[in-house]
Amino acid sequence: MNDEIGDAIDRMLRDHAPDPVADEGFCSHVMNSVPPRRPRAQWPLAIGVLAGTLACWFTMGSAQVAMTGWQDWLSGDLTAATLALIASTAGLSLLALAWALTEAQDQAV
Amino acid sequence: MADRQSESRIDKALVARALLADDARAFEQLVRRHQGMVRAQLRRLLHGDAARADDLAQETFLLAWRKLPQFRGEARFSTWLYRIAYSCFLQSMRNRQHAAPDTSDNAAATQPSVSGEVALRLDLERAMRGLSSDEQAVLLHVAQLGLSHDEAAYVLSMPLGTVKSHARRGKDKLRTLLADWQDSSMEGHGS
Repeated sequence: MNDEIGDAIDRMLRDHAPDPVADEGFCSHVMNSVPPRRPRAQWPLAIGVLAGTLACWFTMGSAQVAMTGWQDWLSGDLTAATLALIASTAGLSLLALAWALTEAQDQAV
Repeated sequence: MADRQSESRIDKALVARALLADDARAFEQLVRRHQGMVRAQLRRLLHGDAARADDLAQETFLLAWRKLPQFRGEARFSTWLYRIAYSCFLQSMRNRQHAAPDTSDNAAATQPSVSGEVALRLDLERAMRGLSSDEQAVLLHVAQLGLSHDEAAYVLSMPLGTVKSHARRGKDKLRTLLADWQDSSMEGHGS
């Protein structure tokens, strides 16, 4: 009995649900009021990339293993330093790829 | 269900176009698709005040345009809009310090001599006004706009348990307030 009454109330509420309101110029009115979107400032990204590159350059420049690895790589020797350099470069590339894919996914959603 | 999913996919594609290509026409499509229900929601919340509801609906869509980059697709776009609209409604109520007089008792006493569907609608509206504002909001979104309890909790910024208890209590009150109609409805179904 209680279920029946509950169903009757549900049915009654559904039957008296609000109908969608006809547009009647509302949409045009809204679109006329929409302000132009300001383009996102690019300078923070540029400064970040520059600062990161400089920090990386100074850090790697003072690390002997990086210089040795780089020189061995150029001369075609697969030393431990070269492998370490290749591994860290590959790791950073994968991280950047994962980041780019996540950002792209977020923007698509 | 499949319709809802495909509608949701279309909305997400339009949002992506509006964001990536800064395409105002894509946003216009979104407004066209959802203005009807957002305005209906606000009109019901404002007890039929169409002019004020439309002002709030416009505010809702302007806010949606500004906040569009924050839409992450966790909820359906329509649910996200309902949430913004409900926030605008609450803000407007706070600004106006508007306390709607409770006329349900008087109104029930002066029931006009209309019959059938019109009388039932009037009675339901009166009975709904007899509920607390939270119960009204929950029943509107769950039972009338077709949102799930989870979605209603998101729109109304309430805990899920609170939404469920408001829905149950609201229906219990409606059952009491509409007892006469239920009796005749049951008889109608029984015969």
